[in-house]
Amino acid sequence: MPGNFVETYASIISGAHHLPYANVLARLEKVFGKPQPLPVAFANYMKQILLSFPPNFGPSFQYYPISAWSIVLFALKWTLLLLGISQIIAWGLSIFLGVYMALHKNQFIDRTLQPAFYFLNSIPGFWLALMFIFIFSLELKVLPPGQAYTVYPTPVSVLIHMILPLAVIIITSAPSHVLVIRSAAIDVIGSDFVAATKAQGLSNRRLLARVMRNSLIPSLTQMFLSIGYLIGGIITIEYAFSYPGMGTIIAQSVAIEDFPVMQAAFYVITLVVLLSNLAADLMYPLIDPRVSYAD
Amino acid sequence: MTTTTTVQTTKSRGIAGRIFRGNGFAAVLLRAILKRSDVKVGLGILGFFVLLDIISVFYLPYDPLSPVAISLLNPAPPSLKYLFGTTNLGQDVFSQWMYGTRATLLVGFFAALLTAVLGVTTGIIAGYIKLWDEPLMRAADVILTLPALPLLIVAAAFFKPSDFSVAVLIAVLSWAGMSRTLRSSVLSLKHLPFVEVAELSNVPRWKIMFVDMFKHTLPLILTYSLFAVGGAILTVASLDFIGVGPVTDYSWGSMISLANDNNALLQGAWWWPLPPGLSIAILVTGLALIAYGLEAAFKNM
Repeated sequence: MPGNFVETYASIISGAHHLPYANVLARLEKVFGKPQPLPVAFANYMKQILLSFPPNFGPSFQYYPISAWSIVLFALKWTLLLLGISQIIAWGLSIFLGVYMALHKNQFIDRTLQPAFYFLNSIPGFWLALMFIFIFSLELKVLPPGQAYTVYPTPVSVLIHMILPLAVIIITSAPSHVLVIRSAAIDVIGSDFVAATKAQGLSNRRLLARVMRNSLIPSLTQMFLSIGYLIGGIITIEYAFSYPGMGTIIAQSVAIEDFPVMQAAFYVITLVVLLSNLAADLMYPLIDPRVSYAD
Repeated sequence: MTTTTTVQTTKSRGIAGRIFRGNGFAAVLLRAILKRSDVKVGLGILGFFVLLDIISVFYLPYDPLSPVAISLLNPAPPSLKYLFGTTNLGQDVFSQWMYGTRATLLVGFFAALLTAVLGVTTGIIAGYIKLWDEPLMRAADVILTLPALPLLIVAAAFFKPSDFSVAVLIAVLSWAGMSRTLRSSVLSLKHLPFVEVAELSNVPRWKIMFVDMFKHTLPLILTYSLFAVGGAILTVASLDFIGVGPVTDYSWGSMISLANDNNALLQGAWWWPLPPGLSIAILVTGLALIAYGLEAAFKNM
């Protein structure tokens, strides 16, 4: 971390309020503590984070008495809300599209949809967000351009504000799900049991259900493993909509060098990603009986 | 199909003909470039932007940074004079767009190159030397679980990166996937007869690892690197947008970022952020088309 924040802040405050620098510095050192040698400070810092609950990242610089941890937790709720709803919808859509494309492999519809999905996959989410804000909020004036609610978080207001961010997240994250499910479904269709099922004379619908079920397995774990990547995309999209989630919090704290909030935010995101990776590992034996951790 | 190829093989001789019909890396690559439409379209897109970059070195319609339009502080819509309109400072968006190609391509390819160097060395070493397998792969696991973009944002806030350092940061956070794939492919190559012969005839270890193994994993490396270029371009653009990227390089990402910071859309200036974003999407699509096309071509090798 470059520089000493207390000194930076002291100079900012003394400049803004025309106070003597030494006085401000003394007051701030009373609040944040005197500078300690680096190893001691670091050990103390790690102890505060790892051994206390909730982890103590210290107060935010921007919203002084409020702790960085509670600011981040507040933002996390909104991010997880967006992530959860968007992924349920994106994933549900992708199953049908992916299996459909696999069934029509190398036919016209598959060959046109594939490059189309590469394109959607390559769009920067934040840019699409800006374009949607322009089209739907500024030109057509049908949807709000940002924030999560107008004055109070009533369900209707929250829902209306969620439509655009959700649309952008789904459009930019569904293509990769579709491509994963498509290749999984192609593998499944080529496997022996599908040939056996066909030979048994099961109806097309039941065959389709079996193909779908078996192509879900790799894609579901794939989705949980890609949560880290998805959160990365959601962060920039949230910032574009100034949605009060992690993205806006991180961008704000980066802009004014609010280091406790930045550290807390990264810590929380890493925790979420680790937990979702763990979930993916634990889910394997539940949905795929061939995998077991018993031995 | 097979009959025609055999007929042609007997007809055409010479080195070029032999390379084209062989089943080696160069032959498959050449055939993919000449015959696969997805690779051709992808190369066309990439070629267009590379050409645009080369032209921008010698010729730009206007200075991308100086205010050229008369009506200052009011973005002007696209016209014949200013093809993509102007910014709020009266700068020509078309010139900025041409100029931005360079930084975007440079960072993308440089980051991918570094990623490939890191991924290939660690992957081959982990696969070939047993002692290094565990430590390198556990390190790769750690990198793979880290959420890359949030970490990059926080790291970039501390470092204030340039084009060069942002590429290094991206490479450090994205070598792991390539390393893992290469390791598993080296593990299966290791027990092939030709490697055993080489080992028995005293070929130095580094030569087996970085010449023979490298040659045999080249298709993997190439496709993976192409994906890495696209990924790096999108990552740098996201960093620029949050405001921690190398914004002063005037890449496409920083164009979008500047447009957003100056409320271009509130002023109705859609022409300002539209070209850079669309170009990023098209360029990354082109790279993906090449990569997927080559992947499919190499699968039948």
